[in-house]
Amino acid sequence: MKKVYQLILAVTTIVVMNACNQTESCDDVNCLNGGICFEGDCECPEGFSGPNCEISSFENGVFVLNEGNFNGGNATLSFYNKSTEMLSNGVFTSVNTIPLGDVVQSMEIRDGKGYIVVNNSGKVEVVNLSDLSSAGTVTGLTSPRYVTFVSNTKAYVSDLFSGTVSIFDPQTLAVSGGVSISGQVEQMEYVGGNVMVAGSGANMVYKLNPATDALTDSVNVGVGPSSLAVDANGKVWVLTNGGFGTEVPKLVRINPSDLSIELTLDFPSTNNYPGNLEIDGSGTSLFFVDGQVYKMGITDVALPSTPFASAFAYKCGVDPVGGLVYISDAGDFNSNGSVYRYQADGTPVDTFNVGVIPAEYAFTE
Amino acid sequence: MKNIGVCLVFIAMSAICFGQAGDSIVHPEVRVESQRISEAIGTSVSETDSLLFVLLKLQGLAKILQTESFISTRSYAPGGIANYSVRGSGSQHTQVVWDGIPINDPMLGQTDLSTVALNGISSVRVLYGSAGLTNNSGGIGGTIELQSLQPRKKDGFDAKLNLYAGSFGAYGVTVQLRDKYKFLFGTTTIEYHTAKNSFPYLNLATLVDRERVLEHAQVERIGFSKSIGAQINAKNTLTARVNYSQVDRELPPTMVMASTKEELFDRDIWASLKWTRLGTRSSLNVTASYIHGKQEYSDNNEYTYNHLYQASKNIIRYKLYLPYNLQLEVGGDIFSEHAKSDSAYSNDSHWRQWQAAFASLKYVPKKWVAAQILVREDVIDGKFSPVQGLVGVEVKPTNWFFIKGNVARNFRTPTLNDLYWRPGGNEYLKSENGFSWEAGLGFETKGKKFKFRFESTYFQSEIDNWIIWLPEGSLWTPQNKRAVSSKGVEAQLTTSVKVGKVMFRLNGAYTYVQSEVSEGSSQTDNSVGKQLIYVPKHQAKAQFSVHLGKLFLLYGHEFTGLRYTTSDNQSSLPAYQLSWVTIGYEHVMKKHSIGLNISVENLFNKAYQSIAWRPMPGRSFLINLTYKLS
Repeated sequence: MKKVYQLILAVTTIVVMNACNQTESCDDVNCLNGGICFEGDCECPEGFSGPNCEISSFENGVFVLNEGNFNGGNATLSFYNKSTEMLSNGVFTSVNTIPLGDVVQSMEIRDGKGYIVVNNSGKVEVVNLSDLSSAGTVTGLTSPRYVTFVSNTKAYVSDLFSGTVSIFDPQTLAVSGGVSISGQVEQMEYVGGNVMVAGSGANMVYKLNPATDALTDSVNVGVGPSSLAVDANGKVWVLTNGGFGTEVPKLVRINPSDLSIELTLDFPSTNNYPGNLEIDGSGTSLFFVDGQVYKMGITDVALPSTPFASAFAYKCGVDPVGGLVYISDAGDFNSNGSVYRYQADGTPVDTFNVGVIPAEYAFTE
Repeated sequence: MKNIGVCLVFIAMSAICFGQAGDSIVHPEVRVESQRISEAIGTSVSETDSLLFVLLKLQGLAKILQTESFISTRSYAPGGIANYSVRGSGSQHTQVVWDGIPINDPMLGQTDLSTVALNGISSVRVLYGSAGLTNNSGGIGGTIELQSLQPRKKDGFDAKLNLYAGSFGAYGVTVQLRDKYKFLFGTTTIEYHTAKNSFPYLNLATLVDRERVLEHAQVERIGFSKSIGAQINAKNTLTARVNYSQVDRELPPTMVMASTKEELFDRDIWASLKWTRLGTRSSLNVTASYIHGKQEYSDNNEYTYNHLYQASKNIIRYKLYLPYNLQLEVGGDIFSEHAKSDSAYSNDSHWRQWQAAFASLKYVPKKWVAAQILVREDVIDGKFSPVQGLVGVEVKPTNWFFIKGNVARNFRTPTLNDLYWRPGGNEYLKSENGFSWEAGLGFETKGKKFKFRFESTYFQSEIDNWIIWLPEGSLWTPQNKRAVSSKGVEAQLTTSVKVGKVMFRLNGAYTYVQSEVSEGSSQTDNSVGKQLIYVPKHQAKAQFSVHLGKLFLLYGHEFTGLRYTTSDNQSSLPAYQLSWVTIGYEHVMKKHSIGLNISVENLFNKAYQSIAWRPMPGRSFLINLTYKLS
């Protein structure tokens, strides 16, 4: 009997101590959005995640890619949930407890995963979109810029300074080789069974056959082609930067089947420095940034002379659903920036504050 | 390395020749006026302690300045690129001068402290604010003065050899020779330093393999200096000097980078020919100099970028001692700078012609009060700079108390990269204008066994037209779009006391700097009213030493306050404290002596970051053996 009492006493002590520990460990924990603290960790309701349930679902929203400073290691990811109108900053670090890296460049979404290209860290971080947990990393890259998928098992990533388009498997994240391209390489688009590659260093747009990984054709489009978009007619639009003063920048329309140039629109002067060509969900309206955001239709035969919105723009994004235009204002480029949202007709919607140097966007369904 | 071999032979021969000739006959002392900048009256100056300078110079100029001045330095890695901030300004707002000759890289507008070979340098001073305006413009934050190794004053020969080795693959050798024979005198130094910097650190940016060893961080520095002088007669002296350094560095990755192949090679040559004429009531200094800088950068794809700059800098100063304790000094500068770069300027060359004239009148009685008024005007490529000037006063009502202050106007011209970088350079940039004032007080007393000095200064400055690189469309270009206000307090204590045969010394310094953006680059600039990045508000440092004959024990401690890493002050690096200790002994045998110093850096093995995501070494050891012949 004595042993039974001792056992009961021991069990009671353990239970009480555990209860005390549980209470104490939750003292400093603030669970948001209906989360409940248990043993120091927040148990989040469906649709929320993060250490304090501060992150809402990653569905029906937009990732804001905050580049951060070169060599600053302060690239971050913000997420704006369009349903809950909730903004979460620094979501990658909140979930994975490590920094995202140095200069986040672009992000592609495919099959429930996000492929985040981190330029100066030489990697592509892959996350599960369900909770943004890490699903692995594509490493061994030098200066990656953009990812384009050609199948479930094959994707290309352009490597700006290495003169290479690297090949990797989105399932295994293994790099299996590369396609050598002269000079710097920027954006890519998969269209008509081929990948169009902006060879900004050689002033060319290349056609890359994903079946053979061979460059099958090319066309000179002017100095510094860096940005591509595919319109509703399957035509490829190319924006050149003119070499920043070497010649006037151009907006060029290419027929991807034979790489013939169908239209060339010259910017007014060599003092124009356009970039960041985007297209809306319907593929009928183009947007680009030249200090401010400009908009034009794919049937227009002249460049727009007045900006789409008055806000200063570093970069922009266009929501394929609903058509809202997101404009990135990076302030002094060394502090947290802002995002301005506009309706497709230029009417201001709202603004929210994000991380350091907000730049490009990735939209989720 | 072939060049170095030739240099070695030359040095050895030179030293032997002078050494053989100079041992037996005693000739009069060389009468050479100090090469120092005559700092403006009413300003603040700090100078390295001679013992500390000898101990710390093996670790580079950044370490010396961080330990002994109010300057805040930050290094990308041990021996890596080192930047600095004086009174809340940027590196480009501080002029580095070698024997009065400005040596800042005209392309970058600053000097990388890690590239300076120090064996041919005898002392380092920091002239705060516009204290260096008597010598040069551009030092809105201050002027760092490097003074060449001084020649022997009496006939003879002396030599010094250092051999040292330390943790993480560090070792090196320095040789210093000085000789004088009749009217000829000379100095020769050579140094070699290398360090792998392969120290362990904890990578905070990853969840796996957190315990790592820094890779690709090797540094190799070679330095050589030579001076030859002749005292032509009682009044005239001619001195030729050359200082050579080359640094080969691997640039290590940050914690958020997988790896890097980046490498940087720097070569600097400073050469001067100086004529000094000392009259009974006047002095004349005429300097012709050649400054050469070469930088080769190799990136991750092994592309190599080459930058090259050369400058001829001719300086004349005439000082006249007038009645009524007045000193008139007038002078002029004629500089010609040339830079070429295959990446920055697409192989184009850019020239800059620079002329300046200044006049200063000092009232310097032996007691009570001293005052100075100074005016300077620079003409750069035919354009007149803002008129610069300084009014300074010092009052010493008693032997132990003084007050001082000054008001000054200074400027900084855009760098050649600001003007001509392709793409983005802006030829229409204006100069940055600086206005500053300061006021200070101090106490000092000196006895047979006791010395005490305390000095404190309050300073305030405004810099407008601050140059900041911002994008226009997709093009980054520099613009005059910011203003910065700084204010702060500096306090410095130097004391020593002798008890029996034991000497105790304590040096301490504290600085508070509030350096804020007062005018933003745009309406959405979040930096307005915020502290500049990497400028700690609080910094404190102290060194305590005990000396018994030739034996000493030295303990140093340093506190660096929180530093913001984004201009809206939303992100920061935490404050850190570092300690170090050195024990040393010198055994003297008539003309020979042997010394041994053992140092432990980062005594308590603290993890810290000087720049975000750049690991710094934990506890390390350095042993230094010195042989002197005198």
